[in-house]
Amino acid sequence: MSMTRVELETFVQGTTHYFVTAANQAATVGSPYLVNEGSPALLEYTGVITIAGKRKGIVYFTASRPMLTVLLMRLGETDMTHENMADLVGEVANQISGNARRDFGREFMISVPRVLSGAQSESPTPADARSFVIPINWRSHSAQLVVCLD
Amino acid sequence: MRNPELKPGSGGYGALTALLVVLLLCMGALAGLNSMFTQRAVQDMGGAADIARQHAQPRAIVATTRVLRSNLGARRFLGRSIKDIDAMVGGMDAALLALPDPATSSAPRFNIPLLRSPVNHQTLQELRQLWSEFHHYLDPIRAFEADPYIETAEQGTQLSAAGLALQRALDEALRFGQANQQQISTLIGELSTGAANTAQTRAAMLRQWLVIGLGACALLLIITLLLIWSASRREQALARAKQQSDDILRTVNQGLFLLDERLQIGSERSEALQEIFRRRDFDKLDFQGLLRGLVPEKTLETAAEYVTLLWGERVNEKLIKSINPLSEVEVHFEAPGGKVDTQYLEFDFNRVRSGGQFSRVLVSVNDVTRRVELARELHESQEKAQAQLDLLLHILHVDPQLLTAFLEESAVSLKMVNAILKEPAREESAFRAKLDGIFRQIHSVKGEAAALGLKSVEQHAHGFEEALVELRNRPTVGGNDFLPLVVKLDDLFAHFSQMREMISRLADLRTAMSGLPPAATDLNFAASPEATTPSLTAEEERAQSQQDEQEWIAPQPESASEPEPASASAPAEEEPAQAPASSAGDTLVQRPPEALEQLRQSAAGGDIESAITQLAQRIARKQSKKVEVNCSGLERVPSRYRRPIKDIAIQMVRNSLAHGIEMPQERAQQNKSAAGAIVVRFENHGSGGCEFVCQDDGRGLSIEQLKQTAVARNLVSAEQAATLDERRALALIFMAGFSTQEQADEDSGRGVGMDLVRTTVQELGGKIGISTAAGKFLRFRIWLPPTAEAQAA
Repeated sequence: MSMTRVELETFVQGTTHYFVTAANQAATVGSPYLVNEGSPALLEYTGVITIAGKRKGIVYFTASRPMLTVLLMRLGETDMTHENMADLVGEVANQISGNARRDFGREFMISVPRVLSGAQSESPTPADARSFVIPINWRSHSAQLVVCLD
Repeated sequence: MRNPELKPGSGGYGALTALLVVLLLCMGALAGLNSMFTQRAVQDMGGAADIARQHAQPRAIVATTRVLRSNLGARRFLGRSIKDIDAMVGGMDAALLALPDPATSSAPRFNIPLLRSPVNHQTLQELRQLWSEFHHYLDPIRAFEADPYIETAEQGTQLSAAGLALQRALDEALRFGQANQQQISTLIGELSTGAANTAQTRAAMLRQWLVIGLGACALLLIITLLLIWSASRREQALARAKQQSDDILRTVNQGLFLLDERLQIGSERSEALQEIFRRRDFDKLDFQGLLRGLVPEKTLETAAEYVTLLWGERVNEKLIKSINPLSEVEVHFEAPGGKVDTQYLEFDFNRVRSGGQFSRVLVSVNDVTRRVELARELHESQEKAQAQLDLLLHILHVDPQLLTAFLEESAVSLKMVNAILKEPAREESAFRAKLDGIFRQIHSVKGEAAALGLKSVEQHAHGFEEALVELRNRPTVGGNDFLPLVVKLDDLFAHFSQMREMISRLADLRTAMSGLPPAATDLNFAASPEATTPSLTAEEERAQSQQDEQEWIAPQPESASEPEPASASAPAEEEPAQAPASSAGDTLVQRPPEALEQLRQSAAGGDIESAITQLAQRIARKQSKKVEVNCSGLERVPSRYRRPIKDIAIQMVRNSLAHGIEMPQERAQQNKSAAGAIVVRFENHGSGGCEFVCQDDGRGLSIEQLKQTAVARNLVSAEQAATLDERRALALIFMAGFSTQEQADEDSGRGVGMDLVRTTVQELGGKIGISTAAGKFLRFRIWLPPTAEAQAA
């Protein structure tokens, strides 16, 4: 079953919605592309949700430390610790998860977000799967939303 | 399987307990009776002995009375005789008083039953009567305390008045005692004997009762032992049955458990349940708790409703089984690393009837993951096989070399599309440039797919193109708008992957059959259509020469006043209105990853002649037209130009068949041959550059119609159109969005093909010239600069 536009839009909306509501500053969507061979590279902090049920796969939001630092400042946070950065990508993943639950109904099983830190972390996507990479541009920074569903 | 020894109520512990209680009561009663009877026997015997001891008393009383009389007569000291009599009478009284008196019901010292026999009772009455009388005579003697003698001088010691009274009393007592002492003694003897007999009789009776009681106890004991033995056997049978049940529950692969009316899971469960549900704790768990977190909430609700239905008395069992929502349910277990492990479980529900009503539901659970996966794989492979069959039918008609080349080129094109997508972009101009770059790649894929007759690829690419056009027409474009494109790109990748898999299988098949006789290995997909060699008529040649001066009008229509073929072309950006491909777009296209470009060049081209010939025949068939294609020199196209020349040739041949070549009957009316003629020619002039010519003998271009179309499509205003000379009017066909066709289809009509031709030529640094005669012919002549190799030579 190939990915549908609606599904992709749902995940993207979940991500951009976070920036609108939490950071009170909209993010824009860059030109999406595919990663056919290997897995998309991870940035320093990654929030991952696993999806099962009607569709199966992985969706994650990966962002760099500088972007998260600015985002934390925007949120009024002065403590730029590793834990706060990790919590932040976890919250974005949570927002994506909530949006997916709302749009896809109860036929989807969506896991609790988990956070990977370090760009060298093992990629959560299978190596032989095609992933959709959607750049999320916010201010001068760019994060990535990666969607890899069966 | 049911053990008959374990039927409910077949001799449980109730009877045994009751029997034991009865036995204990019996034994207690027996012991009590024994104690009571023994006490009574002792009393009886004691009473009899007491009576027996009184047997000699009457005689002793009479004898003592006589001694007392004698001593009184002799005026001797009376001494202890009165006290002896008193003691003896007292003893006799005590003995008789100890015996019961039925008349007074006084509490006896001895038990009544001994004397209840009529004989004893009569004897006792008689004895009491006689003794009472005797007692009456003895009472004055016992009560005597005065001095019986008086001393007188005259007569010496004489009886006093009291002594005289005592003398009379003694005489009367002696008279009565002597007369009745024997009778009293006899009565006492009889009473004693009767009492003894009665005591013996009662003792015998007691023994009988004891024997009976002991017998009863023994019987009860035997019954009790039998029941214990029976219970022990049942215990053993139960233990064996329990062991068997445990063995079954431990060994069976199914998850088995019982649900009560509150949907609570029973305590007896198969071990497989732990493995199936990946948990060990099932105590106090209900059915919903078992499934919560494993299935979506909606499934959980449906399942709970269904199981609740099972308790209805009037439910049709077969019907309800048929609507089981858990007959094959997908469950998800959390796996290490935050992953989800999906399994498929099969639930079966059987109602357990007990005591005439449903008491429980037996639930069996099977892990059917492998079965479901196999079924899905089978289904998917069947669907895939059907899709591949359709694909195969197309592939089989394509020359293998052409197909291979097409796949390689298309793979490069798709990678380029992805590379264009991947270029960072934030501004709208960058997004629009991406659209243009992607369009050229997809259009090329579509054109080549059409040339090869690969309908499915053509359709996919056509859909992609439509999405691109729709985006182009939007007033604003952003990254979100590209989401449908990347989905379509994913579809195209998947489709090509499927094709490659098919071709790989075909190749395997050919390899496998290579050992067979030649007839069997003739798996060349299709023979190249035989192409005749149409030639231009003399009239067309003349017209061509007349129109030569109008050539080189594109790609720089504004600089066409200098129609020098060898001159360098002016950049299209000089006339933005006529050059929709912006500089940004060109830059992007000119900047694909280097490796991709090299791959594209090496993979490009393939057999151009076969490709365009097949394309022409296919489109002609579809449009019920006839065509003959004459190709020459295409095998000499330098590698750098193979891909663009092929794209351009395909575009022009499609245009010729869509717009130029008339229907056979129309051609007949114009005294043309039924089959249209298309000439495709390539000449390499070395350092003088290359020339590509594509010409058809169709209806040519009508200048007026061109102008009208351009005005209708808002490409130029009516005033501008009126001022256009013939050469500039002809240049209109290279404008993006120009098409004389109302409705776009897969072959033409979008008005982008000639724009792409112009852009391609422009990118290569070449020029385009057009010659046409309305109703006669249309010729495109493209000049390309010499390749680096040619210049070096």
